[in-house]
Amino acid sequence: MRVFNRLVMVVLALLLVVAGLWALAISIVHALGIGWRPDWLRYFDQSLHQALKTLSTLQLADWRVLASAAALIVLGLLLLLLELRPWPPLIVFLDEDDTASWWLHRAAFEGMLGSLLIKETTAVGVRARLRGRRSWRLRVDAAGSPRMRGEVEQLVHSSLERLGRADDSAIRVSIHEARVA
Amino acid sequence: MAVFNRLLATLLGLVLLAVGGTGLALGLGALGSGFTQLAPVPAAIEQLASAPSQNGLIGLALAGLLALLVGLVVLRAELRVPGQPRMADLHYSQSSAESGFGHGRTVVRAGGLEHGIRQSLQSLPAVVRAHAQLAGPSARPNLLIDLEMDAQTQLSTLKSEVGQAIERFRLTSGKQPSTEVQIRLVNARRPVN
Repeated sequence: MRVFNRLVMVVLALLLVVAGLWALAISIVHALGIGWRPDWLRYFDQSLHQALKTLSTLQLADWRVLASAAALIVLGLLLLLLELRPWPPLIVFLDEDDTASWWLHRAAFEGMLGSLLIKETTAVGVRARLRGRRSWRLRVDAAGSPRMRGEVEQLVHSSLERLGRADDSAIRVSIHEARVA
Repeated sequence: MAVFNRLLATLLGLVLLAVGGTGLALGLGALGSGFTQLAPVPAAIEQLASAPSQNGLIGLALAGLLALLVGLVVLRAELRVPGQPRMADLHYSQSSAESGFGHGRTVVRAGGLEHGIRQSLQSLPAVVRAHAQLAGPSARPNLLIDLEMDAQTQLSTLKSEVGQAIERFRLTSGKQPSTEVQIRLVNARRPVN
């Protein structure tokens, strides 16, 4: 999501730069009364005038205007939903001592734990989610036999123990019955 | 930067929602049937674009300049590599009275120190890949370490080994760094002792 936002902002900034350059070029060309302009700029001008003419003759009740407005609403809502939902932290706190403060990449830990459980147990569709920057809340969802719960919990516990966070983390393991094909 | 981008994207979403919502409400006649006959772009704007007045041209130029400036500022901020400014090289001076020889000056390159600590960390058995960067003031540098660590390693073991590497750095440079270590767990393929 952070990369997506950055890309969106880069595209917006580029649009602003292009629009700004175009507005400056047009105003200078008109102010100096220069009739000549490059073909691409002439084409762009004509397209813009055509679009403005069309928009000034349409009515707000026209289905094309209504469809565009509905599309804008959908796009705006989508963007708001993506931005306003809580984002998991990139790194979570591990420890602090005289030497350093120690942090862990959350997504890498989740991925490692998921692949460890798939490798070491018969669980499938494993999903590990670590939340909380300082006080960890680890949730593991997997599909498989309910009998392997103990095995999964043991692996999760030992993974946290290696990081020194087994005792102060809230762990929740959910095992769902695997669907039989 | 992430917070700034998130705010801007939220603002963009709100603007899109407001424009779309207003257009839909007016077009459907929710705010009175008179509005449904209106054009999305007033004819006056279309005429102004076809035959711009002097004031219109000045306005367009100013708006263009503003858009250009804002666009360039945002573009520069987005394309900048995040992080603190790198630490400057370390300079050590010694007077001739202290050394017994002529006046001397030693320069230790920050890049050399980074390379040294990176090599030192890279040689640790549990470390798959290491990256170190020195930032901030040279009197009290910030040492930022990024480690890819084998998932089977005990963190306490790694902490002790990294602590020794940082101590070697302290002895070499004479500086006590403020250190932040970020660990990325990986399932290493090479054998780990």
